[in-house]
Amino acid sequence: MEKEYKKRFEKRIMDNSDFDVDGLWNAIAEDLDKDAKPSTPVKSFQKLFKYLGLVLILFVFGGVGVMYLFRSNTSRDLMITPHNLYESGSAQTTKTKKREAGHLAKQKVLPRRPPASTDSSTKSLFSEKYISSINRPGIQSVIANTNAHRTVSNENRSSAVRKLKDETSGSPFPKSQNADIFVTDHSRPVAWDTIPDALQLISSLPSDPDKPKSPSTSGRPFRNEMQMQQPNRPTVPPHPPGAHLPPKAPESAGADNSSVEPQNRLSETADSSWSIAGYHNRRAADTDESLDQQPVGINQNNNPIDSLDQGQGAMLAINASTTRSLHWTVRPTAGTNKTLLYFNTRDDVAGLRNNHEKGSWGSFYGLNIGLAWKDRFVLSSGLEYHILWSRLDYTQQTTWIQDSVLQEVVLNLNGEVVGITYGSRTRSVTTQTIWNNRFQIYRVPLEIGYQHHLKHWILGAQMGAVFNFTISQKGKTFNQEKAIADFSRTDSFAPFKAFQIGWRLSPVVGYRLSGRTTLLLESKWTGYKGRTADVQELGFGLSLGVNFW
Amino acid sequence: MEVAHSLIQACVRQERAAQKELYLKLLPYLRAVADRYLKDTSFTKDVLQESFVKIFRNIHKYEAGKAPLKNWAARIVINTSINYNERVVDTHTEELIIELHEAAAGRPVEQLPDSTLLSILKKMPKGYFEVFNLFVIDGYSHKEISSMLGISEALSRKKLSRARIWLHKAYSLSLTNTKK
Repeated sequence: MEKEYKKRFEKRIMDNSDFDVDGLWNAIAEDLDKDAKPSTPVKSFQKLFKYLGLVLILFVFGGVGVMYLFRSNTSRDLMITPHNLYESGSAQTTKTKKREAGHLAKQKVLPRRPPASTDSSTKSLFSEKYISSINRPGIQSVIANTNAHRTVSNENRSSAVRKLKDETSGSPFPKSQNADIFVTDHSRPVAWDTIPDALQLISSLPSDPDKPKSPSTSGRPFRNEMQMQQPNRPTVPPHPPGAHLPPKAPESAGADNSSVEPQNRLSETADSSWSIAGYHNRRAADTDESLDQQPVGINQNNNPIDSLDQGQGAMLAINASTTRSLHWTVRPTAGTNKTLLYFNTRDDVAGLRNNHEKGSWGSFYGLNIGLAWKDRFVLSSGLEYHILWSRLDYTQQTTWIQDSVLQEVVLNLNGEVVGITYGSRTRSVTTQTIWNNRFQIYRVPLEIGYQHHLKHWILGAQMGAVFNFTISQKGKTFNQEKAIADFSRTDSFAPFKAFQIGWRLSPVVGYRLSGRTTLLLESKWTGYKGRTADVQELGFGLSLGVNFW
Repeated sequence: MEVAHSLIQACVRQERAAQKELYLKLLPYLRAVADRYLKDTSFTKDVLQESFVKIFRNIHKYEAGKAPLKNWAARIVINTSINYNERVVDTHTEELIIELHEAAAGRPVEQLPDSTLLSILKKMPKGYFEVFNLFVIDGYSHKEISSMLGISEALSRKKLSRARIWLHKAYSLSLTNTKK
């Protein structure tokens, strides 16, 4: 019998005369036109690569733009922070340098106080108490600026000072002009009285040979002094030594109304911590007539502050570059994830699938690129490859009543059946289907996050969007007729869409292995809406972050 | 049935004319395969449409050295048909016996027409029917059957054995009744 079946049906072909050949072909051609699958693997990922490329380009451009804007804003944010401008260039003694070194070594925030001096006649130019008694717009402007930016990164100061020396040794300031250079840094607070140390170092700036030296500065190569000017105020001659407050200066006709706004950018160095950002260019400030000579203080050497009108005083402004505040982080990552599927179609099939198809554990691998600001705020993206699994476990029992042969009576002699008893039987068939469904997904996250540092430990969280590209899904599930059927990437009853956007929340615990490397343990909670299921993933990953400045 | 290599290559390039030529060439055989594997032949057109789309989409995966294109395509049709059979609930055996008596009418199996033989085969329980078809007619091994149906090789053997018993009993019963 089996041979007969094989002989007849093995190579059987059917005549197409009674079959709608063209109709079937048209339907096939329509399907091929509708969602033709490219023949080469490269083509099959064309769309995927387009999406990925777009997201990555946006991220890189965004990161570069943020970095550029951040640096630009800082460069424009100039400020004036002189306070101990009484030291002349020649007074930059070994002792002074040692004191400066001591200041530089300090990392703690020092209390705000006037410069340490035993000379009661010496007053800090920006002593609050003293300044408050000066009701002059020019000075107030300086005070405002100073108070607003009284922060300097101590650890960067030595390099800044060196840089300043280098920069100023070539006498960058135009002669016959007062050059104000400003000090600024947003990163760390610093003692009020430590700022001038940096400023003192520029005392080696050459003095203007064309200018008459004040008594206190004659014979010195350069004076590190500051002048405050106000329009239409006369220049006041230098105060006598020891005077606390010099006498009121006479009004000066034809005073220059030079602005205190920065006019030029002196230079911008490539140093990662400091740079000279700008200076004031006070034209005609070197003439007694043009300057407001209101005395504001006397230095340790009893040099009147008004001697600053000699035009050689320079205020330095150091712009703390923020390149250290922003850095890139590259993190290879890998881990495991648990898939949770909630089938959401409004029919009985969804209930059937929820009861019999459960998510299981998978794995992921990826490379994340992050842009960290001040080592706390993180913008990250990357590319991850996820393998997700679900398990279909369905036991089906079909029962029916069947009329069947209950008994056959066989004559033993020739084997012929001589008697048959018919009856009905309840028959049942139990079929258990167990199948592991596999889903392969490329994922591009775009997240922002915050990290809190506790010594070597890092606690943080990230949240943002994820872009999922399903490259493969294969397995068995229930179709719309509640029957178990194979599904592939394009089937309407497959759980995942080809492209899905979702959200992700990632608590992070990390340990800083070194200045550049960090080991992170991440928990990723991801959710998105698939084709027939709401999907949530709970992942645990380990990643190694490497920082680049 | 020989399919030229150039025709296959043209189909790999997704040339529509070549695809139609291949479709016309394979259709009679694949239609017979679908007809044999489908318990409910009303799905034949759907199965063929789905199968041909799969064939043309995946023809670049076909390796000429392993098997003829006809067999590769037939396997796609078989798999698709088996999926469609999941939607069909087995008809009761009672119905089978009545039909069998009428169809066989005491004639030896060699004298029965193809349609009757096929009809009898399709009355076999689904699990038996697929294994019998794959093993006896198409010559697949139990290993191949186990991978195609997602069952173990032992279960495949068991089902084949039961299918043989079922068929033998069915014909014995038919012949006996006819003699009476």
